[in-house]
Amino acid sequence: MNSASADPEAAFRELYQATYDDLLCFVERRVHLAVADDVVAEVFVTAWRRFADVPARHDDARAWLFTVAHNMLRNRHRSDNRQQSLALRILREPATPSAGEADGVAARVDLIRAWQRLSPDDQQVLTLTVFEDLTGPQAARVLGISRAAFSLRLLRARRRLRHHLQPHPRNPAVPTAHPTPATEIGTSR
Amino acid sequence: MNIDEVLRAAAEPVPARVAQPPAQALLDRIVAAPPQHAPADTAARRAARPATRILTRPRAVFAALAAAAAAVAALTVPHLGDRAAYASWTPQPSPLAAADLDGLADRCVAQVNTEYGYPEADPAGRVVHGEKRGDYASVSVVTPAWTALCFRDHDGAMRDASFMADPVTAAALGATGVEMQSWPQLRTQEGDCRLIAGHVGSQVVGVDITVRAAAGDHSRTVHATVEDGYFLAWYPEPAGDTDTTTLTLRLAGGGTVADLSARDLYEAPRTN
Repeated sequence: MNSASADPEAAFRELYQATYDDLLCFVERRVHLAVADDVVAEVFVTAWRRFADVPARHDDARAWLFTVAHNMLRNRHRSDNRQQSLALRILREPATPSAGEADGVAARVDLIRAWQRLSPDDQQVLTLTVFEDLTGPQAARVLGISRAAFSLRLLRARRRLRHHLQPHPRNPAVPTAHPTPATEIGTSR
Repeated sequence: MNIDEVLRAAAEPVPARVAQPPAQALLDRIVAAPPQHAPADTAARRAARPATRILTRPRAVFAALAAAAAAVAALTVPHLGDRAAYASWTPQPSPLAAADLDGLADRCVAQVNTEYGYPEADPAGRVVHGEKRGDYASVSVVTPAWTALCFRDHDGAMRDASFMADPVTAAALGATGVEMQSWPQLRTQEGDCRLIAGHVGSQVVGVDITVRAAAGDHSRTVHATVEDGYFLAWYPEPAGDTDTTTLTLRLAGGGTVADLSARDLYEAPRTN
């Protein structure tokens, strides 16, 4: 941690306890559940080894862990040639209450269908802000892009999701919907 | 309609797991050694896993090289925060003796098999390159199925730095393409360093890599080894962002392909 800490192990344990579930959700949204534990272990080992580099503020430290995880996952995806085919799962943090029932099961089904029509890039930016609760600058850093570029992507992703949620029939002029498999959306263990 | 709330409402809730025994056991294993002694890379990750865990298949990591005559590419490196620690490091590579190269390659291949479960199908098809800088050496191994880059620490210990399956073919790279197959960071007792390796097109005779300081106020030049269409190098580099690193390919005819983002190349190769 950047702040002086008399007991690094205690500070790391505190960070671990505070961020483990968030990080596990972050990873589970993006990879097969069977390998999520491995990725999380890798990230925390890296954090311990580079503990002096981990930001002192909790939310910045959390974003730092996400960035490390994102880079590891990118490597995995690249070697697996799966980067373009994975869709992000919609998982909710344990501590995050549902904000209303969204008019029940039918609305949820509509939402998942709309989500499936988004490109992985659109899903990524929405997930970083909606589920991972990162600020724009933090999310931009995770993706390695500028704040302005992230804001633009987010704006477009929200626009496309809204469009897909509208109850009109298919419109071929829809702004760039990329069909994705998204077979595991909405699943957990 | 608040789109964020709609999304959250539709999400599948998952239970908290940090208090469960596997998560707590992982934490205890990680902090069993102090941070400065925590093993780097795959060895550390393996140590963090339960002994019974099955090794997962690789992620993208590394590179390779072939035999024969070496050209030299230029790497421009910025402020090297750990530079002073690597007193023996040189910007110009030295060749490895053939016996050293073969020995390191054998150890690297064995480590790839152990770490990633990728045996070498045909040892005769192996292509190896290496270089030495001060007390440290690196070696890359290319096989038809995978590439690997290994790093020899100053104490002689082999560090498997990176591994990548399914490299692109030379035909895909054409005349001026480039695939960056490895770009990992390692930490030795002397500090952090960056390794880089890749495969270039048939007309590429040199690779200039520019690494700018975060403030963009200065940079330094390192020379990478280029042999038979493959390049590799390593240099001290503080852990952190290297988004400004770029590559310039020097071509046989005297031309260049400039300002190729290393991060972009690591994401996807430049093919013809």
